[in-house]
Amino acid sequence: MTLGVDSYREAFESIRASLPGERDAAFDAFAAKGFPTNRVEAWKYTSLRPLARQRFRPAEPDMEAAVPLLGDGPRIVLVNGFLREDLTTVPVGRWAGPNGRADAEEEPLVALNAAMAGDGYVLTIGDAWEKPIEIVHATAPGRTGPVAQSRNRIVVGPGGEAHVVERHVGLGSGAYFVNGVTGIEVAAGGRLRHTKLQEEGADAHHLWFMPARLGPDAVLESTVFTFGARLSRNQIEADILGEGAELSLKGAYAVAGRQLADHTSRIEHRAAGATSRQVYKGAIGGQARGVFQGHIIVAEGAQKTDGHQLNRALLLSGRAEIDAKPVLEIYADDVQCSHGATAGDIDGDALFYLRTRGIPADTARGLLVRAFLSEISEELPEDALRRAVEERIDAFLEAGA
Amino acid sequence: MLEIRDLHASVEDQAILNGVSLSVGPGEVHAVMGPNGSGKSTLSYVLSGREGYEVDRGEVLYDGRDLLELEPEERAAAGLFLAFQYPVEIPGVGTMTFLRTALNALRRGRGEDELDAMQFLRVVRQKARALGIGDDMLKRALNVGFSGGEKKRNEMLQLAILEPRLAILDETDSGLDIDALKVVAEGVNALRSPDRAMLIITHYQRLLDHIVPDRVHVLAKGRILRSGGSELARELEAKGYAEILSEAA
Repeated sequence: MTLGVDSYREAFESIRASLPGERDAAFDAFAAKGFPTNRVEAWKYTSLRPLARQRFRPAEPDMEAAVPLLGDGPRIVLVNGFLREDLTTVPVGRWAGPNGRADAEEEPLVALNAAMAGDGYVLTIGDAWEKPIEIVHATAPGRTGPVAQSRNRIVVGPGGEAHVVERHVGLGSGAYFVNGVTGIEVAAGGRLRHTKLQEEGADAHHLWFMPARLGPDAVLESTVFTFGARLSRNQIEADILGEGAELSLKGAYAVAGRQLADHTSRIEHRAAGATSRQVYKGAIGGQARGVFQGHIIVAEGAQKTDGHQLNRALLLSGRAEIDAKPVLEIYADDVQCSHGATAGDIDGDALFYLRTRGIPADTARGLLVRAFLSEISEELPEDALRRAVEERIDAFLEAGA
Repeated sequence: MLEIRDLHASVEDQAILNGVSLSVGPGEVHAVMGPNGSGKSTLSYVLSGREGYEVDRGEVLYDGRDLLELEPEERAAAGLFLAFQYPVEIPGVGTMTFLRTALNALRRGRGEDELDAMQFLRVVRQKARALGIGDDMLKRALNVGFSGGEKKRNEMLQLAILEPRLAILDETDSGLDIDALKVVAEGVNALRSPDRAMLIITHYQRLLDHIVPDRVHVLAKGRILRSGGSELARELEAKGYAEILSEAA
């Protein structure tokens, strides 16, 4: 029995004729496995069963919807997974469909995206961009819950340098499902700072996959902030293919109620002398759950690899939960790799110290949660972006998580 | 102002204070001296409301109110301040943010207007200068990477800014060299006033050379064994604790 295949086959067939490119192979690759169950190791802690049982109609372009923007710099706007050329100010290419190699997709949901995605941007960075490029992925729930799937690519050429900010927002309340892909390629000597701000609606499901490839001396810093969605997963699969490449993956999340925030990464060092750093920090309240899976693979011959990962969770209620699974898989003998995970309550000594200065317990807790997450947010180079993140953290605290 | 009556307290079911009685009037400076393990820090934590310190018997009245009923922040709002022996390092919380949050919380409680950023900066700069605290220290996260002496001076800065009515100084002299000790003592002396009381908890007499107390109490085995004037501190320095302990036994 494969999970979710029948309803998506129906949805796929209803739109297949309108989709560019050859899609059947991709859908077959999805249908062979269906939605992953908890029996699949990589999905052990995040159950998609309720999501797979929900019926979503394929999202349609919406050329009317107003989209809130963070700044007034260069931007790319997608609504329901379709590019809004009228709101986009950056020259971009469009995704033209899979090229027939879809059966190689390991992840069935990425295959589903290849089968059904109707659009997606291709952003090529050939030189240095001074201003950050804001990319908005907005989804309108509408009356019937849509599934929005877009397939996007960022290609940084040699000498290219940019900060790309991908924001995910819901337009109005209601259930919807986002199943997206942003592929990242950073060529020799290119530099990309990538910030993702996930602010989906409260009833949304958000699954986003980021396959990344780094060439020699390429630099990729990707930081994700997760606040929205009922269930979300940010999955990064990075192949370090060039010597001396530097990869930094960071994340901060604040979830409460019955939210689940899953951050999964798989870094494969296939070239020597590269570094990778991962730091994920989460504040988890209510009955919410955090999932962190960090997998570092050092291939044979990838000597002098320097790979570290750290996951820290602050559990703000007795029913909050974190599942952390770090994995190091090392086939070279001259490497430096480490992992660490901590989970705990707010530091009682710090709380007492603040309270003896007259700071009420709630305010003191808020200061300490902000301080905990600020290690990630304070590195944001743009004030407007940092403020947007801080406002989300404030809202999280005010909601009494 | 502070009335401690037959206070018994325990930590993890182990009795630490075994009947402490002490009375501090407005404007008075009292010193509580005692050897290690005598219950000095326990006394300061019980007075400031730390979790895990159980009061088994006795009472503490502050301006006639039951102090032990209040939460730590309520005690602070009522004018109590504890200068910590080991100030806590809090990464990610800026020293200035912390000071301003604390001062404005107290001002709100007293029905006073909160200070805006500029007014606050003026207050802090002026008081920091008097304690030899530079802007670089104020820019760092609270106590993070501070030397022992910097942490103690930061406690004195908080004392000066928050202007409590009853200040408890727990081993404030530990970790200070002689110059820093003088700076801190001058800061404390400047805050002495007819309506501000202080309880100075210390192992050694040297701080009391600079801050001369009205009364000195010797705390050992969880009880006050002797009380006297400031000359008692010098007697302790000369004879050590052993003799007084054996006299009392």
